[in-house]
Amino acid sequence: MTVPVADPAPARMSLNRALVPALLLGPTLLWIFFFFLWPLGLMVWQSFIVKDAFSLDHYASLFTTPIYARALWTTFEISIICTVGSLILGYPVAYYLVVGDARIRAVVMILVIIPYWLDYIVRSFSWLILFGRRGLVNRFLIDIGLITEPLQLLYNLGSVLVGMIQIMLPLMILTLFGAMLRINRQLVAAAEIHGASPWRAFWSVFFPLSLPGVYAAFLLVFIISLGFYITPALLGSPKETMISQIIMLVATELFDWPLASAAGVLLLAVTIAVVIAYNRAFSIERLWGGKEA
Amino acid sequence: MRHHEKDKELALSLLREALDETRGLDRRAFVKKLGQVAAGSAILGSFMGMAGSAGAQTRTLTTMNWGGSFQEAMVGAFISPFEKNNPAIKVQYLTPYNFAKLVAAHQAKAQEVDTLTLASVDMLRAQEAGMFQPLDWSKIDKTKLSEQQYTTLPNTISSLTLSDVMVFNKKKWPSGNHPKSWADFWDVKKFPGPRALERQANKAIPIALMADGMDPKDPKFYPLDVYRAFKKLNEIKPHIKKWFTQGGEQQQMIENEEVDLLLMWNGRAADSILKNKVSYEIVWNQALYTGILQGWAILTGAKNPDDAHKLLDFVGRAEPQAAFARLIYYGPANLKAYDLLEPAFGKLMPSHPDNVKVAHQYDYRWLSTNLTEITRKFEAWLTA
Repeated sequence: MTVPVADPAPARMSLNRALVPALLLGPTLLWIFFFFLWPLGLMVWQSFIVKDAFSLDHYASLFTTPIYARALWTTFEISIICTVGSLILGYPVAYYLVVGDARIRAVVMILVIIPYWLDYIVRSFSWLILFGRRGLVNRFLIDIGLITEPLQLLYNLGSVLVGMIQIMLPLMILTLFGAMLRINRQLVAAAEIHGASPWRAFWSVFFPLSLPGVYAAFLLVFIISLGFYITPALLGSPKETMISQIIMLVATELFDWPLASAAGVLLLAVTIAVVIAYNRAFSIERLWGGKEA
Repeated sequence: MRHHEKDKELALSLLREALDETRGLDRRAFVKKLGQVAAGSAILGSFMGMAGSAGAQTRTLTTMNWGGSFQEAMVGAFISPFEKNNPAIKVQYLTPYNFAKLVAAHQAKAQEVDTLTLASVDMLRAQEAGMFQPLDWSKIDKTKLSEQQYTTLPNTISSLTLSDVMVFNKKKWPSGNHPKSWADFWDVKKFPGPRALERQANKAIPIALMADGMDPKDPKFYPLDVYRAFKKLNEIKPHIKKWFTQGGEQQQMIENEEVDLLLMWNGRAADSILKNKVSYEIVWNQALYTGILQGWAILTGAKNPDDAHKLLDFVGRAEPQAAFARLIYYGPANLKAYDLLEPAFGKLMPSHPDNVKVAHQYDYRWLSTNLTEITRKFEAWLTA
């Protein structure tokens, strides 16, 4: 076998230029087409068909049957609170991961990542054990004499939120961490040299620079929250029924696939609308390497 | 028919040995014995298999089931002895059970599953949709079955029975003065304590009607009086801590004493009571009994109907039926299986005559056409 010498032939260069991306991206694109876009298209199509004719009936019944509209509203409500909660809890941790003591940082990083590896169902189930009537939390509160009767900690909005925030926190922290790493921290040092207190330097320099990361992490966590299924099913009551649970019910118990498709399409459409509006307001594409922040 | 017997001989003898030698012992002892006799027969099994299908290639038979402990029991009682006897056949499992998926595959004329046990209400839906292929009774020995197994629904072999039962906390009500009926379940003054129910219209509505005084055997029970049921359900709604959807949740709830009174699948309840020794007890009175509708069928478009017939000639017999009951506590549909079970154990089975006598039996013919409608109403009521 001979080692090829650099070949400057322009024809070959351009062939490579076309071929290499095709080879690299082709399999994934084919996969996405056949296993995502094609079935998605079928689903959209199905949602508009009633007895072989085009119709908006499925969408009409989505909007006129209170249970679907309610579930959609609940889904947005829970997702927003979950995202805000994850942000408030996650921002300080991400900040510490950027500026804190190196050895402690490594430990914190491990603590953030390990739960990320655990299955959703396992993490949701563990709250059942912690928050139960005879669970650790209630037993502790009774032992220290704070309460005499166990509190109802499970099967309500609170337990759903705790479960979801716990699941979303690592993603929030890691996304913020990635964005914060790109901030030039000499700017903070410069502010301090010019007499700003550390607090002032953080608020006037670091925090504004971290906002694109905040916007991106917020959107990412919010969108994933919209699709939660098992956590509200295990930790919630019927009041916390989210749209995925309804879609599942309609598809597998009511056998109304066109209606389930319509609900899925509606969720997708609303999500895309949110992303577009959000992007207009905060231009998050900067973070993905568009214009420099 | 004699030449078919060879396919089953070994499997049946293995099960008989394990059942007889552990009669009266617990599930663990049975599982252990089952493993031992199976291992002891390994050499014999491969020998018989080679003799039976010399040169034959491995053929696959695809089934679908609920997974978890259900799959364990299915493999232990049905599949693994069957495979031991027929080494040329490899059984594949799809989980979890998903009827919608089977219907979709049927409509697309691309059925992946050869044979399976379906849920009761799905048995009728599938029958109606033409999803079962006619069984060839020359390949299945009827004399080994109870008559009810093949007369209940054409082209199926009834295989297991389930009940949804009321279960109560014995620590809370240790004396004889414990909840004994659905009316007691509703009586939160006499029997205070957190409760749980399943998020299923076809269960919540009948128990509400019984709580409201309807006789479980009333011939006018169906069509269900949905309006009356919701009125009664309104009374209990604030006391239901959890409307569960999964099998595992029920067991978690009694194992952590999350609730004192709940509806459970009898197999899950027995599993927690016998295996994990929780101090809860089953009330058989007014249990919701499936009857013997639930069973095996071969699907239209099955790729391997021949081997599916072989499996169906095995699963309905007394030995595998008794073994399945020992493994998961759902009752046999073959009444001959009771001869292989300890009487005390038999009393824990939904199909035991004493339990059937006091149970309410689901009317799946009514439910199969009305379930979606009552589910819609129930979900609207529940999430309101």
